[in-house]
Amino acid sequence: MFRRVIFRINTNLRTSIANSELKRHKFLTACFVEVNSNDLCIPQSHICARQLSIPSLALYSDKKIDDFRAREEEKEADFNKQPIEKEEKASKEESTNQEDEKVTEIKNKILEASLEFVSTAGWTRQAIVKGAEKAGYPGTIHGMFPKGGIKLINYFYLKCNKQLVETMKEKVAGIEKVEDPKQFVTWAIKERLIMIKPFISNWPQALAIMTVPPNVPTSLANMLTLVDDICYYSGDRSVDFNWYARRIGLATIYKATELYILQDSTPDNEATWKFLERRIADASLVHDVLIQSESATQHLSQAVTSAFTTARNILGLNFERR
Amino acid sequence: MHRSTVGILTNQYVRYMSHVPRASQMIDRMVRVDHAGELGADRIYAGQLAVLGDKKVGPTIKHMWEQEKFHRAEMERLIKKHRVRPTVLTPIWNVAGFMLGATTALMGEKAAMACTVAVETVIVEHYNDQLRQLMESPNPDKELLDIITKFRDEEQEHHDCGIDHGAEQAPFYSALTNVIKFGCKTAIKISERI
Repeated sequence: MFRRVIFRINTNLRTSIANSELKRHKFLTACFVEVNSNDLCIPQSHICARQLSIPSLALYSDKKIDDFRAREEEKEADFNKQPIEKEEKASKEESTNQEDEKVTEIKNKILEASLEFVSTAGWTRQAIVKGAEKAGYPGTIHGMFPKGGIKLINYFYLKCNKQLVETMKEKVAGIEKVEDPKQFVTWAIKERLIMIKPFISNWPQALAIMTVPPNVPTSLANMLTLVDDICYYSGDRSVDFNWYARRIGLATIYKATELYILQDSTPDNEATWKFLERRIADASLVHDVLIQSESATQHLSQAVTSAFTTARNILGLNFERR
Repeated sequence: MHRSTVGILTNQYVRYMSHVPRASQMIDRMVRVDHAGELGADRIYAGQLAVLGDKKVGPTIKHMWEQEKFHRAEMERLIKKHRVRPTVLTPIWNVAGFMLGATTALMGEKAAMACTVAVETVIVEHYNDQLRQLMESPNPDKELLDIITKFRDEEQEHHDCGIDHGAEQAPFYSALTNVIKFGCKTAIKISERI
């Protein structure tokens, strides 16, 4: 009650101040007119300075916008200064890009040829040497791959990713929306794992090389590219945190199944596919729970809002509404 | 995630996966940060409206909110179109935006308008920077260019509207706006990358 009275007084005070300012403004305007009509030689800046003591919106905002404009123009001018340098840079970049492409082509040729020696030599420089010789280059060209085996692994990984994307594209071509994303994801992971089967005996070595610290960023990027592609083609178009949840979940499932297949000796890897299905079922269970908890957060926010309104009522901040 | 890892992630996308219609790193960053910004703006107005909903400025804020909602929907469409990774901090911007809007609104209508002015100043400058960067690139994406230009103009309207509603008479106007501007700029820098 007491608080409300104070508040009333405050608002009254505020209106009276506003009124008095209005009066002052009128008074000053009147002065200004008078001064003009009497043609008295009072320097205009004098009056302006006094007028400025009233918070004048128009003056203030004009100044702001002018400031802003000036800043923008300055930036524009800076920007226009060096167009020539940029062009030179661009042409240089283009030529290096062309060269890069050539080199990559040769590298890919050698790596492709090396793949067939992996089963005997492992994911090593040795395999690259043999591959280079087979592709018609001297064995010493392995100097192009200073990192050795990891290059070969990356090449293989990305090649498989590419192949999977092509298969997925074919599968979803002409379909508006994937009907059962769960089934699609299971199918995609299965397809991808079948691709590493020819190298299954050497795959543990590849996994080990990929987890060496300097190789981790690239390997991680490759795997995330893979799961991103699977998510994309399975119809995931989320734009919030779910984007990450799906991809991380899928990456975990993929990695777990990849480890499982290494020691799976059942014919046609039946145990692995069953394992995969179980993981997917678990994940969709978790996903359902998360969806449900999302609506729970909505309830929570409603509760917070009502608590907030009550608090305002208690504090008497809502008096205007009554 | 470590910065170099993220860099490698995006580079990898561009270098090896060119057969997949994925956006260039520049577009990737732009759309990500713009989406984050519009998400934040949407939430700020939601926060303001939650407090000032039935005051005199209610309809004005509501109108601006509607525009921001449209901006956000457009950015979400672009994210899907270009296969851009949304920023990992979406839940944080979601809450932070609402908090900022609600807190300034609780300080009064003018403080709320001061918040609008600060945020929109930063956003307009940011959009202008992006437009320059886009024009500089070899084949600018016409669609993105048009969208950003349109949004920039609307954000400028919001800024002017804030000034018209007496933002500058807010308590601690310069301190308040500077703090908010600094926060927005930091948020932009972070959202470009992660």
